[in-house]
Amino acid sequence: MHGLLTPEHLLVLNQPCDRIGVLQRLGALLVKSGTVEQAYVDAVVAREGEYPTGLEIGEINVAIPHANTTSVCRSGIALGIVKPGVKFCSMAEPDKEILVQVVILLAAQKSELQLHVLEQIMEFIQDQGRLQTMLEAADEQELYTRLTQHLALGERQG
Amino acid sequence: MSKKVVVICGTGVCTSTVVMGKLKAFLQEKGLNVNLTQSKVSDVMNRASDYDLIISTTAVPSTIGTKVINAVPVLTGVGKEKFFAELEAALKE
Repeated sequence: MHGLLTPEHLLVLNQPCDRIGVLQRLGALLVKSGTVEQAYVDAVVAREGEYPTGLEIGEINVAIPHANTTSVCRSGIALGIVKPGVKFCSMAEPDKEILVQVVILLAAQKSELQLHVLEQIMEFIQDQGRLQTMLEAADEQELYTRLTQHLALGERQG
Repeated sequence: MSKKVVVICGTGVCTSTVVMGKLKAFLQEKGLNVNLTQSKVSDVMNRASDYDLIISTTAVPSTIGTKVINAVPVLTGVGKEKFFAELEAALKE
C-alpha cells in the first residue's frame, strides 16, 4: 500500500465540502498524475449514486469510492480527510446517510490492485485510533508523514 | 453436492475480492467444500437462481429469491463473527 500512496494523492479539507465535490477533487489528483482519466472520476461519482460506498464503522466513518477498471491507467489511491465530515450513503443500507471523514478513492487495474493491498486498506481503517491520528494532520504533508509512520509500523509488525 | 456460492459487489473488482479472500480462508479452516465464484451485482441479478447463496457487500433487491448475506461486516470487521456464523449455518442447511 505504501507504494500506492503518494503525497500528491492526498487531500486535507478543513472546510465543509459536499460528496460530489470531494470525489471530484480526489479524482482530479489522480487525473493530474496520469493515474486515471476523467472518465473514471465521472464513473466513480455515478457509481456512488447507485452503489454507495460509505462504511459505518465507529466514530470516524470511511468511504471507499471506486468504479470499474476502464479508464484506469495504473492502480492508485487518493486519500482525503474531510474534518467537518461529508455525507455519504451506507454501502450496506443505501438509503442511510452517514457522516464520513476519511474518503479513500481507489483506482484498480484488475490484476494490479492485489488482494493484499485491499486487505491492508481494510485493516487500516479498522483502527479508530489510526483514523483519529490522520484526522489531526494539519495539511497534506503532515498527513503523509503520519500515514507512512503508521504503515511502516504495520509492515514491521505484519 | 457442494453449494454454489457467489460473492458480489457493485463492480466485481474491489470489495468482492477482499471478501473472497476471507471466505476462502474461512472455508478452508472449516473444511467446507463450496463452489465459490466472484461477480458483480448486475451480472447476478438475472441469474440469482443459479446460486444457493449470495454474499454481497452492496444492497441486493429483495425481489431476488436466493438467500443473501450482507458481507460489509467482513470488510469493516464490525459484526464479522455474526456474519461467519450466519454463513456456516446457511451452508449446512
